[in-house]
Amino acid sequence: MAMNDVRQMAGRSVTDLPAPSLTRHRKWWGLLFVAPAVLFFAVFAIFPIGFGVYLSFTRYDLLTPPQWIGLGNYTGLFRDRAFLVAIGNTMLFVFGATVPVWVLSLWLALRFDRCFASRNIWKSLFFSPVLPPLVVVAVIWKVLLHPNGLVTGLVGPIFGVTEIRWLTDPVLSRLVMIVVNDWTMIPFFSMIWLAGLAGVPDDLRRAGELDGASDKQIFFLITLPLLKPTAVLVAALSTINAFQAFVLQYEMTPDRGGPADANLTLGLLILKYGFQYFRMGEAAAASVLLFAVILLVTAAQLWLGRQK
Amino acid sequence: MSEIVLRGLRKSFGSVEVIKEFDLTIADGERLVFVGPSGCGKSTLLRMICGIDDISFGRIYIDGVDVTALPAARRGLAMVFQNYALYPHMTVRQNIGFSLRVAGVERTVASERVVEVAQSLHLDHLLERYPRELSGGQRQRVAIGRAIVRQPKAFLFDEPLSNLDAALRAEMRLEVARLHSTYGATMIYVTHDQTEAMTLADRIVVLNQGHIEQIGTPSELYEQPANRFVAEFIGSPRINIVAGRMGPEGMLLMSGADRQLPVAATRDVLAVGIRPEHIRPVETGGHLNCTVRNVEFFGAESFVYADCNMGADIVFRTDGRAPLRPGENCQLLLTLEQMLAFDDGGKTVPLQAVV
Amino acid sequence: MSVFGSPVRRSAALSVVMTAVVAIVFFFPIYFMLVSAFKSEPEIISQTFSFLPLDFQGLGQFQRAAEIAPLGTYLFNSSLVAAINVGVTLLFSALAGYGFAKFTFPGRTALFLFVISTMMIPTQILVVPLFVEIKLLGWVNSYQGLIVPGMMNAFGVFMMRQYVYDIPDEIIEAARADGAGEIRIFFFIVLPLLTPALASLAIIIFIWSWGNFLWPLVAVTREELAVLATGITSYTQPYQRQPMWGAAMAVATIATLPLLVLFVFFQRYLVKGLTAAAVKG
Repeated sequence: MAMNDVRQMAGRSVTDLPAPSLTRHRKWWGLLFVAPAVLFFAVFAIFPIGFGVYLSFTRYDLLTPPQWIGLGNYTGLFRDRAFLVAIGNTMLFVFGATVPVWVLSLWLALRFDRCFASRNIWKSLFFSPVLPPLVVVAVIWKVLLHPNGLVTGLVGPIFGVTEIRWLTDPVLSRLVMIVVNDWTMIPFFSMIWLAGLAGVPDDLRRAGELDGASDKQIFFLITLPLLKPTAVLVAALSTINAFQAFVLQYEMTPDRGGPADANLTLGLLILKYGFQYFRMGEAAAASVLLFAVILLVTAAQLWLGRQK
Repeated sequence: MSEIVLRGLRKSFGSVEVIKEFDLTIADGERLVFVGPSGCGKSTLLRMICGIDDISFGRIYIDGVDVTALPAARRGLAMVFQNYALYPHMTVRQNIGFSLRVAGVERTVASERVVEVAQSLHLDHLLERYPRELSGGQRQRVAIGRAIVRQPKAFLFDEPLSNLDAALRAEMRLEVARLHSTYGATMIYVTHDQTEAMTLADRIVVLNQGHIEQIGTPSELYEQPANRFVAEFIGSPRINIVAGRMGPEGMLLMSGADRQLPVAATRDVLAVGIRPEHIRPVETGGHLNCTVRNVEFFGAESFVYADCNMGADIVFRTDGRAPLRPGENCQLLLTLEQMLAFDDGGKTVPLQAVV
Repeated sequence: MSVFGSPVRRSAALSVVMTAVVAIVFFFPIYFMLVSAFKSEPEIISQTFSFLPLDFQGLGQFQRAAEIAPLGTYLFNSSLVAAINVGVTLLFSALAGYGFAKFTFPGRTALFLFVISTMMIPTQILVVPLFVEIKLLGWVNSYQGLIVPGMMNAFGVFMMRQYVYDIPDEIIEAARADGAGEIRIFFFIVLPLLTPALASLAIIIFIWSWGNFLWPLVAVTREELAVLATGITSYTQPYQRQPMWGAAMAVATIATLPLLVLFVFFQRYLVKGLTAAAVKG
């Protein structure tokens, strides 16, 4: 109050001064609340990326300090037979894990839209492959696909054989990887399609019918365009997932990626180079390349699928 | 004594000044209403007094104490929010008692106070219910109860009645009036509804775009509006305003009228106003000749819309039992003592009768 | 029968039958696992299938599983990791979601994008540097190394922020006007109102954590620290003896059961949470 008098004598009143802020401290609270999460990701997500890029330019075996070798790992990888094989295997797998999944999950969702009423038994059974951890899925199928196991028992008689080497034959094993993967992924993506379909009003489809369109026309001209965001999502998610595949290959194949590297995917290669041979620099380089590929492909998908 | 003084209040959001140089003294026990169209700053003002929003410049004093730096909880005020802001996951008892719990009031004492307040608001049988189980009126009372329990020096209400239907509104008006007579505390309301303002207030502050248009009692605002904005804002149905000027004989001429009216103004006039309740249809000797265009019948009375060749329709009220029909001619007699005139700045110009 | 799923011209009965067939075909391997856990070894690796065990083993396979490898340890570790992941993710996500949704501070948008971008990072690119990181910290083959790097999930922040937005600002202002401090507001007002969302998130994080294979594989090599996901491999690729398929199926059942149970009872929460995220993403 004395301050007030002094200022009034000087010809100014206290109300010319800015008022004290009651909410200024609130922004510190905001920062405090987000701090734990931000710090965590800084240490365990963002920093590792940078660190990984750095490691990719070094030779490092965990015993002696990292040694800078510039692009040595990258050039080395492109001359590495295993790496090139892994690229081929991964491309094949990605194709098999995306296109059929996209198509089949969509078809099933459309076909059985009505029958999968919420909370009904068929929906739950259909969705069950999504539930077990992937490594458990691998174990189950390993048993089913035993050379003298059930699947052989079902398929063998057709070709007159009593033993089928599902997991040890180069061609069959690759096929098996794709089928098992698709078995787990199709129900998951069907659910996503169903959620997307729920956003397409029935009225539109009926209007198409009244206009005389055939089922095929209704689907391609009305339904699918409206499903575009979902379509892009399914494509992107299945692709990202497929590029990183390694669990099935790790658990179901001989020598973790065999026979003779027939199922060596990039994911599995990174694992081997990093934690079997401890060639950390090469493993880091491979993962950087993998990340780059995933980014590019996903970006391309999103760009192609953008809403105009 | 809980007198509230607002001095030199100004508030800006970024570069936009929302409240401009606001000074006001609110007496102890007074019921003051801030009223104005949306965006005039009335809610912001209330929140500044409460302590929820920052003030850019100026000071607030309660009982002579500068509370500008004090957070809301320590100013001794209680606010009833527009949407009640009840805690959905707490019972009525917990909602009302929350501020006591925060303040660390002893459990049994707090419990007694909560029950007391609930009883006075007829909520005692609802204490264990959750807000979602209550009707709109009951929720309103819980919000009031939450305010009462803090024994504040003043109550602040943000649009208390706007979420209620007509029947509930009347009930709540009584409730709030009862609140005032029981506790005698100062009450500051904010509303956009001028009827509410007129019925609730001892004094009304009419706001427009951050500054005060007029402060006065309801009758002052009604009979002696300081400017066109207030004249148009207060009173329902709205006042009729038409272009007008001083005629050649120094008397008022309404545009479109065939003769001048025996009133004179002290300065130049641009517009003239007369309220619907101050116009009467007559057989002869009226001031205006008009053709009835539309009649709205309300039972006890009717609103009549007449074309008097003045651009917009003139509205007037008439006894429901004396019907006029569209297309008919009528003469209108104006209560000249109640006429208002406005200059080019919109300010009211005093009128005198010419003998 | 139209392949494109016409809304009208479909025979309802035939559809139901076909749906049932599809559902059963997809469910079959799960059923196989469940029933094989109670079958004898020769019944499992056989070219014929019986829907019920012909030579019911009772809990025999489970006992063998516990004898072959430290099953109890695997279970304990998986549970511990899952519990900590769920707890920490829920708390940090709710805090961060609240901070991002209801407070303004410089850099808010940037920090939020920063956090969300980590959702896009494939784990493959993190494994190698993260491992080196924990090695430098001396955390290899320890509980800290196993649990801490995966303790928090950006999806949680994304999800919580969406739900916090729906809490009316008025309620928080009323609490402040009632004198409540920021910490009290978070724990007594915001958190209780987030309960359903937290339940959904908890289920999602539990499922993810329970099945997480890559990090436990890499971060620990000692049996005492293995989790169910990595431990199960010791039943199918043991070093000196033939794989014990029955025991493997028993362990598979144990590993899958909590997820099945969660799904059956909390399908609502799970599907709502996932599809909401998918649609918004």
